Amino acid sequence: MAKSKKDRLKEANAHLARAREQWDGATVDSWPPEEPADCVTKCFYSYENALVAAATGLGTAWTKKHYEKADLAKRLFEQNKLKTDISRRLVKLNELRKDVSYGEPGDELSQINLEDLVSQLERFLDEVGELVASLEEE
Amino acid sequence: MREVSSANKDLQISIILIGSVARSTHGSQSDLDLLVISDRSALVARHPDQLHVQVLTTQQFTERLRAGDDFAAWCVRFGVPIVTTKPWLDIVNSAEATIWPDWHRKVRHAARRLILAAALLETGDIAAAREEMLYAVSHTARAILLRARVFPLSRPEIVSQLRESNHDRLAKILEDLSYQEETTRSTLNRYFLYVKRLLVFIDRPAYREFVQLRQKHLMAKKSHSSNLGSP
Repeated sequence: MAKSKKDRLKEANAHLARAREQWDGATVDSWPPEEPADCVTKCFYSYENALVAAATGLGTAWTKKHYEKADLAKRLFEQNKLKTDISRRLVKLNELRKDVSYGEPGDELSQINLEDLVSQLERFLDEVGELVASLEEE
Repeated sequence: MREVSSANKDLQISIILIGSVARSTHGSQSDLDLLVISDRSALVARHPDQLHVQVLTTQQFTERLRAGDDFAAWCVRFGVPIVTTKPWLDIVNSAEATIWPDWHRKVRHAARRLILAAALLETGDIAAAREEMLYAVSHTARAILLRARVFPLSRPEIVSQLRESNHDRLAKILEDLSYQEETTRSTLNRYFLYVKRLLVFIDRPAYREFVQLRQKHLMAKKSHSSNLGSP
């Protein structure tokens, strides 16, 4: 049975709150002494939760698979539902996260500007926050 | 493969199949893992699907072997070359290729993932915490096997290797996290406590050193945040 708009928005806000909490953690990881592996991983999950918040609020179906979420991000951007296309960022962060999962962080990770990474994420969270708020007003 | 070769025409590139596909133990959800080794940094496009490519130079890879990295050691032992060039053959025939991986490193890797899993669990993101817990358990299993001079194979095979080494409970946890669709918060909490105890048991100094370093970093960050807040 399809969820009511009220339930969808409640769920969207819960995902967004989780995304913000993960962003908080990533921000602390970006401060010196930096923890790049943890920062990248938390940013990745935060992006995913924010994307799920947007999709849930809009009533768009989503799956748990990471690469399908990147497709979803592209689709929502192409449909003008989201202003920012985060599909490439999701793919890149997922790869970096997987590189770390083998054990040693790769060279690419040390070249990432973590401050930029969390700032970009913050802007996306604000964008999704505005989207969910506008859906609540409709 | 054609894409990698044409984007890096002036490099000597080797492409090695690694992971469960290389061991023929993969399932429908398994990623296809490739290792790209070249004499200098190679350009490899990222793919939004179940293909994961790890790119390293010959020098970086050899340094990893020398440092006792189990991932590099796994690749030289069990990787299936798809495209072979001289740099890869040199690596495989080098003295570094015979170095037994340092299992203490796996304890630190496991501790990192375990603490990250706990942080994600605190945010209520069960799926993310579960994924990180799987990495933590996997690193712990590798540490235990390497310590017992058993080389960990692919994840599905590690479950059997753990059982053969009388680590039934860890084998069950690894199996559950690898193949069950859902895990509850309380189950993840139980796994967290068990894995933490196991890490402390097998290498208390390494675990303690890692946790102390994290606490030291946290203190430094607190001072950073108070500096940000001051007028």
